[in-house]
Amino acid sequence: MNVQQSSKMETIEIKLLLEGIYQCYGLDFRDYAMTSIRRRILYRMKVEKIATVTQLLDRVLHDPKMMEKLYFDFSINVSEMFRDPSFFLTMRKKILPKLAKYPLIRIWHAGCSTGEEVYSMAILLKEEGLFDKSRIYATDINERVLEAAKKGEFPLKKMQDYTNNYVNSGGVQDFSGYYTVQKDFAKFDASLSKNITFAQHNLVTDGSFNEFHMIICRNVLIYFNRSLQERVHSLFFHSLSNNGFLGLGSREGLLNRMTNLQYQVIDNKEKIYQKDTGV
Amino acid sequence: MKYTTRLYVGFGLMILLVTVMIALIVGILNHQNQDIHNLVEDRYEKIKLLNHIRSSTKNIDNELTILLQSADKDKEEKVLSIREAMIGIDDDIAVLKDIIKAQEAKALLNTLISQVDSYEKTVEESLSRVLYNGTNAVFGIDSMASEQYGQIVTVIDELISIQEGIMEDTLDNSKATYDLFIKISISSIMIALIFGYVVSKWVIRDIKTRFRSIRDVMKSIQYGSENLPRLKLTGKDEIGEIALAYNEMAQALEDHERMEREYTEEIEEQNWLAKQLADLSMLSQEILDILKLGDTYLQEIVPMVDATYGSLYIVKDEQSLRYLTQVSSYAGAENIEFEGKEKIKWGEGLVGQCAKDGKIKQLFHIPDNYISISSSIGEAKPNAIMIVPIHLDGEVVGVMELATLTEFTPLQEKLLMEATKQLGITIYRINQQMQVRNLLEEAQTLNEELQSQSEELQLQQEELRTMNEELEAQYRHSEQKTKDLENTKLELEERTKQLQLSSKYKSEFLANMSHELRTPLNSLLILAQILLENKEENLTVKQKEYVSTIYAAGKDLLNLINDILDLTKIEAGKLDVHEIEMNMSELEQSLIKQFEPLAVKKGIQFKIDIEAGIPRFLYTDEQKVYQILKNLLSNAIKFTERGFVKLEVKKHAGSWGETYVMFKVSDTGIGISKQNQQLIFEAFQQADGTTSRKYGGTGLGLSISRELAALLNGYITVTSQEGNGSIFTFYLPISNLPEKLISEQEAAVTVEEVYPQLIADPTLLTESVQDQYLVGKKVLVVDDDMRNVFSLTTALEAVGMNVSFAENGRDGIQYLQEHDDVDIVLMDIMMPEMDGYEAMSKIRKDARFVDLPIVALTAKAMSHDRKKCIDAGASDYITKPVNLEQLYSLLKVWLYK
Repeated sequence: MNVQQSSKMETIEIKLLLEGIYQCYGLDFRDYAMTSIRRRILYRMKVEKIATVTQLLDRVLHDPKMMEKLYFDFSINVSEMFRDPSFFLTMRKKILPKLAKYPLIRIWHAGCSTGEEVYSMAILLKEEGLFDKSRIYATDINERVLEAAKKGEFPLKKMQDYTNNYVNSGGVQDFSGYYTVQKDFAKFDASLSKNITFAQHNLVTDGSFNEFHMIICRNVLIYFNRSLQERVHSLFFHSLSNNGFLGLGSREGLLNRMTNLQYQVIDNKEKIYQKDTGV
Repeated sequence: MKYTTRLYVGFGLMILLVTVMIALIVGILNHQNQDIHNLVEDRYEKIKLLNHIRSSTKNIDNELTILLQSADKDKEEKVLSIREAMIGIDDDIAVLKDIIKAQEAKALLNTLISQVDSYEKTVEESLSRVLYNGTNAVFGIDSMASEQYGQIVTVIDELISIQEGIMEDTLDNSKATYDLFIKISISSIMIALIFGYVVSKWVIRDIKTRFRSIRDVMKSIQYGSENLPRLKLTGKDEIGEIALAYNEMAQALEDHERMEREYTEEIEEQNWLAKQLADLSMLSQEILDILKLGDTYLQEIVPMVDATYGSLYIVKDEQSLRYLTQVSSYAGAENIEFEGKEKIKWGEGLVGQCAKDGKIKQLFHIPDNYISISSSIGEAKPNAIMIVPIHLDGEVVGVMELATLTEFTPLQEKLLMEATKQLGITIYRINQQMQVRNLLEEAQTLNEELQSQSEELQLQQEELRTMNEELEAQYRHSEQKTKDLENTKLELEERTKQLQLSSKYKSEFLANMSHELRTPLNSLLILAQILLENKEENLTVKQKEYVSTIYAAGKDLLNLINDILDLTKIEAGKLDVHEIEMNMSELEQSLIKQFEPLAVKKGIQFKIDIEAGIPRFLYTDEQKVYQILKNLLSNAIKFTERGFVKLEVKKHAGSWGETYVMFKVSDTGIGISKQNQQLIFEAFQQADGTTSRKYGGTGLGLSISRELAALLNGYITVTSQEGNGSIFTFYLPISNLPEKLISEQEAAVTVEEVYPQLIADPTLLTESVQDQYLVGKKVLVVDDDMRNVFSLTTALEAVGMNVSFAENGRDGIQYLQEHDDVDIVLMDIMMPEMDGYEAMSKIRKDARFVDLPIVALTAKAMSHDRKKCIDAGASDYITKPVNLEQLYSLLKVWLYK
């Protein structure tokens, strides 16, 4: 069997695996981007010393614990505080002053993972004096990461990088004033999570649950294929208030036909858009 | 008899005859065959047997002769062959006995048998003699044998001839039979031929005759005729049935022919009717006038129905009176006497009645004095009169009267009915058209009127347009004014910006000042406190008193600076309200803890009285409430020498129904005069300028309290009499949140900023865990302020770190170059000789220290300097005064490897 055939075979196996997971557990990863989901499956196979995807399917179907592991692999949990500091700097300088006029600011962090960016946003709001009238809804598909996010504890080893990010994002206070080190974790001040609501939400299947002045969904869409991206974009568009803002990851963007029609580009580099229905 | 039967009988008989003949021939042939068989089988067999006996006997005779002459040695053999021959003869005779039946032959056979018998005996005798007695003994016998042999041959020949005779007889017999057979055959065939001819002739002739009669009748048929010839029915045979069927067909053809004729007639009538109606409708198409319609119509329809007189009336409604009026007549003008009436009332006469009941009326036998039809040569009475109503949608709109000299045929009547229907529609149409024409005329008149009105309106519009232009000019003018205003606004904004800028400079100045003032002051205070502790016990009481004065004065100075800073912040709007749950009992406890000792010291009573209805938790900014109460209570205690200071907490209803919590601070102190009650809330004012020395204080407390109260949407009032104490009341609005929403959970404790916290709190130190990331690590503190160095060293050594220090940036760099075991640097920014920025930049330039964590110590109010620290190479920064917990966390982050 040559390389092309084997990769074709692997694609078939992966599709079967995802279909099996969907039918057995109701978790729908079928529309996730093939290349990234493939990497995650191969990682799990390597760890479990499984030779073929079909064998993994067998394990997954008969062993819910294996499903749980794979599920954790699938939900992308790479995040950091003030990731892409320039994004947060733009938020601080350009966007938050515009949001300041609302009596209550609703922000949705879709795909918040372990909450690094959510706490970053809370800090940003606090420093700009908007935190008390803000409500952050942080959602993710994975309950486990949400539990972690609620704790607000991040590994000590990352804090140096986070400090740099914080400074580069235009931070004006002592970053060390927001956390206390406990063992190997930096625990962030409970007052930061006061206005944050963590909730499980599946972008693939669930609908809108409120109207927001800002939606932040960074580095989630790149793991979806086009049709799913379209679905999620539609969900965001309908969840944004008029003139609400949408913040995406650095390698993401609007779908072609959406530009100009639905959004106005606020910052093309930082992927910040403003809903503009032309009304 | 049917043809089938006849044919069956005729041809059946012929077949029977032929069958009989064939049977006869077969019988005769069989017989012949039998005869010939007998001839061959029987007679030939007998002859053959007889010939065999003869030859055998001859052989015996010959043998015997030979035997007698032959030698002895052959004798026995010869004897044997003779005996065999004799046995053969016996066998043949036995067969012959069975098959010979003729009498004559039987007698001969018996003779032969006896002769053969005796011959054989003789031969046997001879043989035995030859055998036993020798040849000689035979003599005499052999001659006897020869004799006997001759007899036998005779008999046999006789027998053969008899048998041959019988054979010839038989042949003769069979010949006779054959001749008979030929005769019979010929005669029977003849009979059959004759019989067949007769039958055929009879049948054919009969069929031919009858078919010919049918053909003759059929030939005589004339197509299209309604009377067809019929066949006479003869017999019930097949031809009879054909005749019957033909007759039925003829009947059907006749019926069909008749129906077709009737149908064609009907169609023709219909065509006629339709054509006439079409003509009539063509006629009335162009007519727009009812009178002309009547004339034209009558001219056409009267000849159409062969009538000679006609008159047309139409119905009119006039002032609720219905009548008929004549619109036209045909051939009736001369005789005025019998001319139809011009106006007929509803129901009057036959015409009126016809209009009323809408039914057609026909009259015959017209009386003499009725209308007469006249021409130039004479007059005649009509034979029949018809009065036809003209309908439209079930209503009568007119009546037509017609008279004829002959009679109205049904077809004509039908035409009239249809024509009047058509006429009704035409009359309606003409009426409508006339109405439309009238309306059109009216409309034209109205149109002309409108035209003139429109011209008038155009004039008015012109006027309005002129006015509009004037308004536009005015609008342009006001626009210009708006622009001017806009410019003014921009100018004003520019001014505001400048103002804001100068305000910013002011606050930066204040912040710098606070740093510059507080840092030495902090050192002063802590050092004074350390001296007061007098650990080395080498200070005199007097010296200790001095030190405590230094401490007290320094403390006052610090408070003043803090108050100024607070007030500046409030006035700049930089203070935010952080609402949380405030536990009332905790508030009470902490106030008692703070003020009870002070009161006891002064010998006055201190009481707190909280009303039962007060919620256990209030949702407010706890810190600010606490600060206000602290101000009010410390003032009250300060100005009270004897008596009591009391805090009452009660509910209070505002004038618009809102609810407040009322904190009432009353004392029995010196009181405030009426005119001073306004002044005390102004900044830097006390009730009495002279007392300020006696009571100390900044005079800012009440100003701050009032501003803070306003921030919380509350307010403070004062009532007082000089010498009789004062009552300060702080009204705090209760949030509308229902109480149960406020959880029992402890409100998050906000750590009150305590100045100075540069020195490590001993309790904090004992509780600190010796952390793996900190223990044994070397930290370099670079600070020119000895007090800071001291406090930081104490705090850092408490968690097991090794501390070194440098007084300024240059020394710090030098130390680093001489010691390569430094894990982290704490760097003050504002230093003489070389400041923190420069020092950090230089350190970073050395490749060895690129990754060395450097934490900058920055002043609280100087947020924009932090970026500068990072740019200069700091890994992180921490604001002074340093919170120890924060410092430890930060060190752990940067010492993590």
